[in-house]
Amino acid sequence: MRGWFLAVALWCYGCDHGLDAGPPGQSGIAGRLVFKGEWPPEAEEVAVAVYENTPLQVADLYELSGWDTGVGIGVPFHDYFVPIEGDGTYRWVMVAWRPMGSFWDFRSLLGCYHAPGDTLPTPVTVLQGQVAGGVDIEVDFGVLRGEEVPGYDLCVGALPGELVGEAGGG
Amino acid sequence: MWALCQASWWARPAAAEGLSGQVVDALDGRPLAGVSLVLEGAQLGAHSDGEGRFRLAGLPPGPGRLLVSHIGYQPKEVPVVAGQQGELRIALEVAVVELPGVVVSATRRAQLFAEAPVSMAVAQAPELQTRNAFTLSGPLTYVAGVNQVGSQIDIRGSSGYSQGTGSRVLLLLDGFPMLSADLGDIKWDAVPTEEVERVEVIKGAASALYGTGALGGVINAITRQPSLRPQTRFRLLSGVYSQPAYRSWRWAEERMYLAGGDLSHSRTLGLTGLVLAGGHQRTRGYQENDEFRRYHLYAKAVRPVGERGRWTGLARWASDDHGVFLQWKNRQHPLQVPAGDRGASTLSRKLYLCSEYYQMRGPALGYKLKGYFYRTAFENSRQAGGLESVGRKAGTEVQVDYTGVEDLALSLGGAAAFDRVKAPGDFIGQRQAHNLALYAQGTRPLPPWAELVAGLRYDHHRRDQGEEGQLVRCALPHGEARPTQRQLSPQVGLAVFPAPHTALRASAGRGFRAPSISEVFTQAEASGVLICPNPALRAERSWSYELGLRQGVGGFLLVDAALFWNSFDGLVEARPDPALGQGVLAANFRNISRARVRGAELETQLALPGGLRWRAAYTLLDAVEFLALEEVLPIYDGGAELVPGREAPLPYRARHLLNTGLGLQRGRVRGGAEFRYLSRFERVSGLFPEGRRDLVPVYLVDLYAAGRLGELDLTLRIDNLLNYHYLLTERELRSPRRLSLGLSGAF
Repeated sequence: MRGWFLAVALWCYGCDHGLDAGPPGQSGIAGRLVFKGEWPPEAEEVAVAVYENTPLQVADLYELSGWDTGVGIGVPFHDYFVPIEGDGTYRWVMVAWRPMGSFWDFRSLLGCYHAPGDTLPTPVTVLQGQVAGGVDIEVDFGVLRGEEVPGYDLCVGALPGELVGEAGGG
Repeated sequence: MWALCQASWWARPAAAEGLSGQVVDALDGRPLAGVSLVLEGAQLGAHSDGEGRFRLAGLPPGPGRLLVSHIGYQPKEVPVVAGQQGELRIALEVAVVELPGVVVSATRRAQLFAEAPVSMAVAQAPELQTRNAFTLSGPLTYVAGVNQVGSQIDIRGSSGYSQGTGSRVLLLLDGFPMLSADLGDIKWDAVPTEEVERVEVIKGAASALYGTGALGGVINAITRQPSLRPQTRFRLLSGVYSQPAYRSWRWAEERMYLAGGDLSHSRTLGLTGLVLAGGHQRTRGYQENDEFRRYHLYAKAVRPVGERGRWTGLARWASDDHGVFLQWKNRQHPLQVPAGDRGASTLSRKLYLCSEYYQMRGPALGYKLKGYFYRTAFENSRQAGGLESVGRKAGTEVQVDYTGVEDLALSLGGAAAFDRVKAPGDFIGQRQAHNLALYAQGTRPLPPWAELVAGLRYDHHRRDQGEEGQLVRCALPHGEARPTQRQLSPQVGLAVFPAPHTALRASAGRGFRAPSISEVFTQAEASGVLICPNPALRAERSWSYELGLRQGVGGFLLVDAALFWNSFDGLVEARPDPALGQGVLAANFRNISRARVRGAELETQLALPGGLRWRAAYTLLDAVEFLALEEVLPIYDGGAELVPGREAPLPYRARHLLNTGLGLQRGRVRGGAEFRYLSRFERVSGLFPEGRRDLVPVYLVDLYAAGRLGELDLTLRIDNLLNYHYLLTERELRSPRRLSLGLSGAF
């Protein structure tokens, strides 16, 4: 009888468990968000969103390649990770926010990734099974009060007018 | 419809035209208690008492057929003549292969299961008890062809997944409709699971009988009758979930438990039979935000009125305070919610009241008056969207049964239902809808070996647009509002019995479902997606055809095979649409042009030597939609190739569904193993970029052991023994291994 139990226990332990926990070297984009200025009290969520191409029209905003919404509200910085399926080059890595009582709108631009010295958003290349790290973005909440924020104009300038109307406004 | 058990006349004094007698075991002459006896064609029935004795009073004069059935025994038909014979002695033989006895849902009248002209299944109370479940939805997935996606029940591929909004399966409680007024969904905790005697499942459209909602099938939960002698029953259930198979997925070190208890008392006071019950359930859940606390109360009363009248009343109140898990945090932490969803919860309350009065006016004429009221209310916490709604549904029905024209059993009736919803203007708003219906149903034997059933129902459904909603983020809906929907639903069925153990069945019928108020008017966020209203939404309709064969072989083998074909027009499905959200991920409920679900089902039961029993049920589904040339395709394909003008799989349907189990019974102890397989869905919603990446085929193994100690029933169960991790909807893992112990008894 004990043999039976042992056999069943071994079978249960050793068998296929369906969905796996994912390979350790998963593809994705990682970096640090650094927040400046006072967080808006109505902030409900902040997210990093990754697009393969810079959106040119509203419909393109749907074509998210991945996002991370696990940003703690009120924190000075957050180390994010956006899992990405497959390798490729991603040209628009941006930070958006959602005020309380509102829905997600990825025109609510807070900032985007651009390497020092670049005058346009910097593309990020992801290789299969690897994480593209160091994709850091600085977010200054002054943009919500219409303040001049270095680098923000660079992000806004990459977008067509249709997608700029509510940028920063949530 | 009338429910057989509500027609029990066990408390009646003997009348001039009556039947009485005793039911015994054919082998040893032992009296059998709790045997169901129903006079076919009349609204009368009874259960045998502790000595196997029964009495039916107020019978129409003349010959009739008494349908006798009991769990574990072969059903029997006994020719009788009311008032013209003495004591009946009915001997039942033990069934090696079990077939359900009397059913009431297939044709709105009592008949033997074997004679039903449509595919049906019956789950009896002992089987439900073995599942150690708080609600019926889980146990129903062990019925051939039935699957559960989220909280939604899918019968033979009729339903996909729409986050609990709308249901293509109509739930009945003792024959009363039980879909909520606002969401049009099934609230499983509102069903008094602990008081259910059996569940009848109709597979396929049944709108000719039940109208809107019965597009994909009907589930009729039939509750226990009050007992003659005082009886107290209890049920305790506790269990634990295993930790996930991967250490990196663990999210809580505390014990992930579930526990619950129910207590009920039944007795007869004067002529009135009563059942009173209450209970509490709670769980920590197996994932974050999965906890709930539930409370419920239940009462049922049955009272004879005059010589040939009967009143039945039922009340149910339920409260459920549960966490909300919309989607996982990410693939690495699938049992946790995103930071913004932490603490999301919903408090919902339900109140269900129903009343039925039945009166016989002569030997061949009877009528029934029914009324019901269903109030549902929920409030979401701010993290769960801050939504709230109160839905009220009130309905009434009149049915006249006449058996005076030769052998024709005729039922004529009318029904009305009114829905009223009160919710904030930026969610659903204040809306109303009503449904009026007339129906006729006839059953005629075609001697010597067939029976024909035909029915027709007309439904008039109208929703009032109510106040204008406040469109917060959605674009103005396009298309003309369609507030009125009309439907004529015919149905015809033929059951043929060419040999003693052979039954053939064929049926064709129309299905109809008016969209729920929430499908038309909802504006809300779910799983990061904005749901937008669509006042142009129209009713979905179907034609449903079926051929079936049931064959018994030598008393040890039973095979049931069915071929079915359903064609749908205007099926309501949630679809993403870039134009709706004005920059926000958005979707709405839309009528897709055409769809088809066809397939085959094979079910077998085999009695093996040594008390072993094997059962298996396999369903093959081919479920596709035909994409119109002007179809707005979703951004993400959901895992399937989508080309306008061509066909594509319907989302959330498994092509292969297999349930099989081996059981052993020795005296008062039984045990067994069950296996369930679902092939990987070929397509999912298209709302998320990963499509069906994380979906895997489902392999579930369950073990159980049950025994009886005196008046106590004990059930030990392990569900998902292999701790197999799988999803049926995007970004939500289903339950890991669960060990549970159930204890119940009556005294």
